[in-house]
Amino acid sequence: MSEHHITPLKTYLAVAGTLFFLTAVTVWVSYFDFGSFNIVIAMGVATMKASIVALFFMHLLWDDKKNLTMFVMSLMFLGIFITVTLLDTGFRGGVNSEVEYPINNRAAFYDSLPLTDTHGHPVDEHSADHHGEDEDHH
Amino acid sequence: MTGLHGLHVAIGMGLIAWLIYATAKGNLNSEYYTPMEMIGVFWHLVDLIWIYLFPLFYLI
Repeated sequence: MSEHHITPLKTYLAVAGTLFFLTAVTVWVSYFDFGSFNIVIAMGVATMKASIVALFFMHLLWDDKKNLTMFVMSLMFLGIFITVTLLDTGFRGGVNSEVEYPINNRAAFYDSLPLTDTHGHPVDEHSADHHGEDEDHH
Repeated sequence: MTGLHGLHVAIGMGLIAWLIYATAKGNLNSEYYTPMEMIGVFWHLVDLIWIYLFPLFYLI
C-alpha cells in the first residue's frame, strides 16, 4: 500500500478478457458429466478466476507480500475446514451402515411421508417406532 | 432479503458515484487516494464472491 502502482489499461483489458474466457469455459464444461468431479472442476476454474481478480484487480501482486501470505493462508484453512466437513457428510455410514429414523416420530411432518433409509428404500415403520421409543426414555 | 440486497448494491453504487465525483473535483489525487483504494478493493470482493456463486447457483 505504501507504493503507488498504476496498472496500465491494457493489463485491465487483458484480465477482463481472460475472465470472460474462463466464464465461457465454466459454462462449456458444465455440459459434460464427470460425476463427483463436476464440482471440483467448476471450483478449480473459479479459483483460477478468483486468483486473477485478487492479484490484478485487488493489486495483491504489487502489494506488500505479507498481505498475499495472509490471504492465501486464510483460503488454505477455509479449504481444510470445508474438506474435513465434506469427508464427514460424504462418507457418513461408509464404515458402519446406518438407518435413518425420525428424531421425534410424533412430529406431524412424518404423517405424510413414508419412512426411508439413507438409500431411499422404505423402512419398516414398527422397527423405526421402537428406536424412537428407546430414545424417549433417556 | 431481495430488498436488503438491493439496498446494499445501491449503497455500493452510491459510493462509486461519489468516487467519480470526488476524482472529477480533484479531491482524490496521487497524494490522497485511500478512499479509492478501500472502496475499489471492497467492490472487487463482489467479483470474488460471484465467481464462486455463479457456478454453484446456476451450473451444478
